[in-house]
Amino acid sequence: MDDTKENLLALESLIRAPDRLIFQASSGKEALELLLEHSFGLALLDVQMPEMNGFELAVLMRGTSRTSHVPIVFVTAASPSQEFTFKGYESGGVDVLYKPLNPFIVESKVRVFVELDRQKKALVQVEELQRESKLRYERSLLAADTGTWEWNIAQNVATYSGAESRLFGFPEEGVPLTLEDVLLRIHEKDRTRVKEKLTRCIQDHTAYEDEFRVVNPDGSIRWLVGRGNATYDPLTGAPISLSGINLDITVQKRLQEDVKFLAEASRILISTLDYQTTLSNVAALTLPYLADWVVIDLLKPDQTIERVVVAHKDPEKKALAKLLQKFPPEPGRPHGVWRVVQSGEPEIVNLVSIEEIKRRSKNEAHLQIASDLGISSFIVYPLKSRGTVLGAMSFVLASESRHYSDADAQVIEELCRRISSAVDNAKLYQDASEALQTRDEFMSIASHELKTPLTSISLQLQMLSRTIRKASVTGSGMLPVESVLKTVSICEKQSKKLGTLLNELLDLTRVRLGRLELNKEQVDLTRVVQEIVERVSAETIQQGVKIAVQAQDGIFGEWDLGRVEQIVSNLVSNALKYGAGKPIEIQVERLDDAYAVPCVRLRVQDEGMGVATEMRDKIFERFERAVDGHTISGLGLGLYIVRQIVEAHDGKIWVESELGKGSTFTVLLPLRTNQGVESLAGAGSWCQGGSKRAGVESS
Amino acid sequence: MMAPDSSGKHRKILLVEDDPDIRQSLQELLESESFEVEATSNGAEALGALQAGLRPCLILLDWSMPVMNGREFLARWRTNEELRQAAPSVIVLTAAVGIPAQETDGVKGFIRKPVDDIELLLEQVRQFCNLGIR
Repeated sequence: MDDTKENLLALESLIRAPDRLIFQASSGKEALELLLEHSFGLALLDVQMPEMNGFELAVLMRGTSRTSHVPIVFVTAASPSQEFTFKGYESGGVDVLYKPLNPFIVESKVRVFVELDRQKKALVQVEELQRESKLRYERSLLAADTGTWEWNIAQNVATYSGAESRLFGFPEEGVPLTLEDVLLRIHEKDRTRVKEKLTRCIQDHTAYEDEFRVVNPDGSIRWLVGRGNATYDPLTGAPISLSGINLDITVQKRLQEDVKFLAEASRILISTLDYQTTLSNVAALTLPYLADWVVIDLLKPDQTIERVVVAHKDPEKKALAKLLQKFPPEPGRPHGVWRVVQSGEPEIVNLVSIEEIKRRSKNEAHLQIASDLGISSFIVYPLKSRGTVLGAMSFVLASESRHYSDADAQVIEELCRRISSAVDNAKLYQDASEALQTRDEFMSIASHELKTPLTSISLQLQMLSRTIRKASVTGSGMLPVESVLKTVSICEKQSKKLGTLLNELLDLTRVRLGRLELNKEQVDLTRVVQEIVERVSAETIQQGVKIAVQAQDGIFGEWDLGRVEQIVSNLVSNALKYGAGKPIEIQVERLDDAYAVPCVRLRVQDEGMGVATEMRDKIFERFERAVDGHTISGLGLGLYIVRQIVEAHDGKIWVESELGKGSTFTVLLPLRTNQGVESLAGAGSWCQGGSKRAGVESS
Repeated sequence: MMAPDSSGKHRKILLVEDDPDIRQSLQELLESESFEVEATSNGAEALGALQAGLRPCLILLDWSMPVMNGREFLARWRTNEELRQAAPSVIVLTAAVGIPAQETDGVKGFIRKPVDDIELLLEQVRQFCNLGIR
């Protein structure tokens, strides 16, 4: 700064250099403005100035933090004196240069200050870098869930940084702690061991490493792995400090545990094909790892839900949990198990409210049990296999200290997948064994039934052959005609019986393969009934059974004659078989208005043993009969085949019965079917509820 | 019912078979060999005949029958001393295979249906029903 332009130019030319940036100011005000704008390594100030002189500027500069560090060299035309120089120092200057200026002295002084400034700036830069690098290090530690720690052994002071505060729940600003403070945060089951390991590594001069649990303030568990090394006094060998890191391994630990858990679940699931036992065992395994209590519901073939397992981690609540089995999920509910089973989608609710539990409960008793068991969070997961929902498993957490995380949901998904496939396998196996057993039983019945007529034929033929041999031995050569005729007639009858049995077997195969074909023609049902009754007259006379037929003449429809005969003859022979010798009544009636299409109703009524309620649908199934075992002959296929024939004609068959009083079999046949032969799929759709209406009519 | 046998000859056979044709054929066959045949159509009728005093040299017992089948008949026969003394020999006539051994405990033999060889059947019958042989 100088108020004389010439002086400024002269001085600048003296100190100019490529690495120096020089600013000129012609007044104190100008100089201050520049000082605020730039960061200077040196200020050369002329002392004698109008308005604000050099000393006054220097005082101002020293008073401002931004400019206080700038070294000041005064330049003056005053004659050199000690007072003046002191005055310069007092004002904050580092030197005073008297005019005329010696170029060498000026240059060397400026060089010193420029060098000083360069060094100072470099130092600041290094510090900056250091600070940044430390920050970066801290950030990485945080990102890696890693905390660093150091324990001053002699003073028992532990300090920490990085993620340590988060991992342990310590204050973030880093307050000094004692080892005991730290140990208190460690799970009680790990605490003693961690302390022992720390002590041992100091004693043995070995590295410290341990995995331990930390209990978070919310009660959740965090798994950490700690590693560290001790330092020792080189002279005395006394331990000074122990320092190291802690790493959050909760996720890895969880994965390990999940893998172990799922492996154990699989082991249980494949141990037996009895899924009831299996499911109880798996349910027990999930407690308390995934839930405080669990429920397994399975969908039954009739689409109702069976509560298969209810299990609680607390043995005292087991009995209470069992009570829940009395409250299977109700069909049609918009939430919970029923919704999950219907939609095949899981339901996850964390921190459920009491209102919500109330809404989902059926009644007070149900609500009471649910709240006694405790519900805070729950997951209802569908059990699905091969695209079919088999049921659902509900996992419930009773306390608010825990709720379901994504990790929980993932392992539950995998568990449910494995359970589903085990249940599916068990069911397939069960079905297959049942089918095999049914088939074995059927084969045994069938072979017995086939052998009976065969025995008769065999005996008759052998006896005839004996008779012939005897006749030739005695030389009479005459065969008793009557005896031969009787043999022939018995053989004919029995071979017909064999034929009927074989046809039934063939029909069974046809139905199973979906190849029950109908050759439709105009058939008079009344005529068919009369013929069949006529056909069994010998039998009815022998048994003393009366059959009454009530039928209008000529009830025609488009049906398969042979098949309609089969329907009537089966129902009639059943009535004879099970009718206990009492009268049988057959009605044939045209119903023109009762149903959507005109149809005919055939009723065969007996006064025999009747059919128990639980058997009324079953008797129309394959291999079923109302009476157990071999007490009544036949393949047990009759009504099954009759139902198939009726349904192929778009008709419907059902039975009404009272035990000990008799049964009435009713067949509804539409006079003609629109769909024709391939109508099995839509069988009976026109008379949905027909059975009910008829039931009302008859009651 | 037949009167108890007083001749000392043991040629009386109790036939238990539900199928009327088979029953009749067997009866004719046995009668043609001079056996006396009491024909019944189930276990209950057979029990009735024994209780009425019939003392057959042999029971030919069908296995699958209504009302009382062969198994149920044998169960009573086995546990009733009087019945066993009245009819010590039983041959089971059956088409069934795989009847558990304990169910036929005490029977003297089997004849398989369909009866392939009536001479063999008669041979078996004669073992139990001849003069002097009880």
